[in-house]
Amino acid sequence: MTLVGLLATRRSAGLSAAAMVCLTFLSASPLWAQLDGFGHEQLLKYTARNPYGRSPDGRPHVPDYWLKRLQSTSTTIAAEVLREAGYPNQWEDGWAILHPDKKLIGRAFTVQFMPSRPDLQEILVTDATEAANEEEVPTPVTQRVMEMFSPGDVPVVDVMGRIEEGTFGGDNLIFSMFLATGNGFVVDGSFRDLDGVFPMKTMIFSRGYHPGVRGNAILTGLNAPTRIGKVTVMPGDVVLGDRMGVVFIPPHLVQKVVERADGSPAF
Amino acid sequence: MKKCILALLLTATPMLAQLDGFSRLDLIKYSSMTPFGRLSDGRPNIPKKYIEGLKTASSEMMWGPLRSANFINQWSGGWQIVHPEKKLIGRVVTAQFMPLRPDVNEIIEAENNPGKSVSNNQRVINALRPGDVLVVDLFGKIEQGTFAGDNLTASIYAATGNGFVIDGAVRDLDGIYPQNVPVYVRGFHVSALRNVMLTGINVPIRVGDTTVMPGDLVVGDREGLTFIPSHMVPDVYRQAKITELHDIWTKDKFATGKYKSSELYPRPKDPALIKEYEDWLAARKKELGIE
Repeated sequence: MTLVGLLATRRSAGLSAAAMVCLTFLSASPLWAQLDGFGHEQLLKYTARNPYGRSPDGRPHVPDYWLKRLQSTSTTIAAEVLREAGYPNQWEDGWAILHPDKKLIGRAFTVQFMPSRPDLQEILVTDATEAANEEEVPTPVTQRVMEMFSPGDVPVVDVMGRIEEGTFGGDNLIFSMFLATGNGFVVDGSFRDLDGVFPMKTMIFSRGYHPGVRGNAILTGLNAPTRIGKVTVMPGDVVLGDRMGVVFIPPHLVQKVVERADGSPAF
Repeated sequence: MKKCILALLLTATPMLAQLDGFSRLDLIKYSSMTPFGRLSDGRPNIPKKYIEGLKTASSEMMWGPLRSANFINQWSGGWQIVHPEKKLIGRVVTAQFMPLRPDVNEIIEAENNPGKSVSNNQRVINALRPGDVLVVDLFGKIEQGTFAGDNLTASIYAATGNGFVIDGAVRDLDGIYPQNVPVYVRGFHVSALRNVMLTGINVPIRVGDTTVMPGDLVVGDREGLTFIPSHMVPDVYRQAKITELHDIWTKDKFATGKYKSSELYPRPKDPALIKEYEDWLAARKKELGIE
């Protein structure tokens, strides 16, 4: 697809508010049980400090107002505020950054993969297929996950730091993800088709690139606590990425970060 | 709906998961292929016969049967091994730590440690029983990733009769070494365990390139660790024994100095030798009661 075609599609998707609402409701359909067993109830319990509303899937929903105001914040300031608040483990570095001139800001939608094990995979695939009422060919895992993303999400994907066999998507699926979220993503792993992804001008944090597809991995967690390097990322955390790296901001500390960046009296 | 409520009630039975989610029922579901009974915490109860029988197995003897059943990630290497001359074998108890987040940890601690009297690593050790092998995911953390020192190593050994595995570190090596138990770690550090939270006991964990389930059988040798799903144990045992016998026979024959490499390995070539090997193998298998 040409860059012009890409942008045209993006614009029409952006204009279709009805489509967006529709997407949001679709993503509210119940998730199938994942290996971690971390469900809706646990999500509410372990994000109890969230001062805002929630997305239909239960994640804290930090309002767009605060996300917009983070545009003028750097990860340095955010990490400093979090450290002072007793959260020293919210910063992760060592990324290959695509389009570092941009900022990546949005609500974390976490996805976790683990090394494959046939005994577990069989049960996981059966559950997913049954939950989706699919009788014959199960939807591939990546597409199944991508269809759950909503506008303003930032997918945060743990592929165990793998480069080979650790590709989360290529240009087609990354384009589909970009249309659904309006954002890039963070993958502790890799992606493919860099030549097709580059013209989308969306910011992506990965550990590298590989021409092969993902393999030898099973999807074990959706919107569950997920470790990305030195950080425990919770679903609904606000992702802030810049040239230096990524900070994951717990919802109840977002306002504090914004106010520090503005120099207002949060000191 | 009734089913839902019943499921909720059942999963609400006391469990060891800390950041709860993965319950005893989940454990039973994801290990449903096991042919064995269950321990009270839900882990498959792998019989002593296999645990004793696999004490002489090497990593390679178990690698083949696992690989042919498409379990290609069950061996884990790259460890620093204290007492590699000992074998580590037993039923896996898992523990998972993650980088500390105060907002999450305050909920975990309020629920699992209301008196604030038991440290997170000791809560794990308190859950151990004889025959267990503790496997801890500390995400490779060395500094402040020290799960145990010499005192807690003695406590783990007293509870289980075994060594343990930390994808992280231990401290007090000078005090651990004389205890003569096999310990698998990524490194050593003088610091104490800090800046982490205990997110699960007996939950699925990732150790390096392996997904480890509670109730797997772990076998550690000089090279590394093999995590055998319980339903694979009988077949791995049988095939590992056959390889072990094959290797004994083959090395004895080589030791006579009469044969070229290709005449014996991987299989004897001469019809008389083949018969000698097969008769010998059949007799040993009969003694061991394997097919």
